[in-house]
Amino acid sequence: MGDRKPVESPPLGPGAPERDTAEVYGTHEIEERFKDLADPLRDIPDDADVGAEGVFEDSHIGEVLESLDRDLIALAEVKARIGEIAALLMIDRLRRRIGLEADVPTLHMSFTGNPGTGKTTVAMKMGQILYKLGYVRKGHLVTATRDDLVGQYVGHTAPKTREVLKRAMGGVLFIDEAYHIYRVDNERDYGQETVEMLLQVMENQREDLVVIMAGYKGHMDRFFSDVPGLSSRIAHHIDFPDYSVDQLMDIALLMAESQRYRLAPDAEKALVEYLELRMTQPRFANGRSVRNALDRFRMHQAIRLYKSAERGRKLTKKDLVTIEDEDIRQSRVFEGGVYSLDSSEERPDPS
Amino acid sequence: MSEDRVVLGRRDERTMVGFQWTGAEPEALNDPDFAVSLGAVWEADELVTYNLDHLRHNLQHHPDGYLEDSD
Repeated sequence: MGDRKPVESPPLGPGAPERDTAEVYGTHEIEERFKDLADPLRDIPDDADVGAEGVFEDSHIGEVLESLDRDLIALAEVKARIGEIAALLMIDRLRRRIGLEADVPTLHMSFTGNPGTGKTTVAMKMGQILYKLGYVRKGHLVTATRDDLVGQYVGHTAPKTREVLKRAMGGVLFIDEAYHIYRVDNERDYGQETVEMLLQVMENQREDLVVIMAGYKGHMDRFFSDVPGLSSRIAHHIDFPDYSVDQLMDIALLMAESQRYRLAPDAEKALVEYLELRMTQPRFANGRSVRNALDRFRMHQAIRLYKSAERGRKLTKKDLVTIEDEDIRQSRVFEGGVYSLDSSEERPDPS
Repeated sequence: MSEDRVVLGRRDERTMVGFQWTGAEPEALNDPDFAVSLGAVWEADELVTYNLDHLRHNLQHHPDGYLEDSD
């Protein structure tokens, strides 16, 4: 290695003619020229162009970040954190291209927040980002809960966990409500075995798999304190805040628009009232509750239109695309809450 | 039976992981060595198959494989 000479190449740096290096030589050529250098710190001029533009364009990372911004309402801090991680990986990749080797960074993450705050969606985007920047082989998302990982009897857990890990290799393993895996108050709980296997894979197969653990913040904090060595293997902790009423309205309007519906002016006012009430009631799940509500409003609209057509009224395109005030106001949310009218459903997680 | 050349993945030393799938591979396939055992071949830096249907069939019926999610 020591007697290798720098490869012959057109000059880079101050004396070089002004041109876009990435464009002229191509991103592959830049790497070819740099790869045999014995000591990149010594042999590459400090002001050599490393072709950042080419890598940025080739990876299409900008498109993924734009779609994250477009598809998710609000969550400015979450988007900023994802952008920071993407920037870190992008620079890491540029450094690697000119021979500045670095260890595989730890990319395991923890996403904390209430249900419906966008954790799974962001995890999916994260898989795409990691794939486009060359940090995972496939970039797919495998979601798992305790039931998928932990067995019911002796000898059942390891094969179950192994199977999920195998499916997730090359991508992102998203463990929802990760704290349910391990029950600290039960010494004989089989989840211990899963945790041990996860810790081992998170440490030894970092280049093959990124693990994202998700759940309520308080529970996750307790989980990390109950399982020594877990928190230190997680590089990025991202908190997903609840949405405000205005943000939920934006989500609702975006969802309605994507399904080719629109809200009548009175219906928009009704929806604001609906959301203000719904947020105070049990089992509220942010964006997911909005989606469910919209599905119910569509059903109310369909029933209204069907009855109207039965009475002989001609339906118009406007009828088909418009959700009216009454479609929203007949929700049981206005009658004292979803929980009071259906006590058979599970109570929400207290956190 | 398909006989087109399908590139399943590529070795790429510019990436941190050294190899990346192209997206043409069956969803349940994520191990290059396993792909070879199912009939894929290396051609230079490309992992290819000339019979994707056959490879998919082998994957679904291999004892070490698993079924893709039905949903």
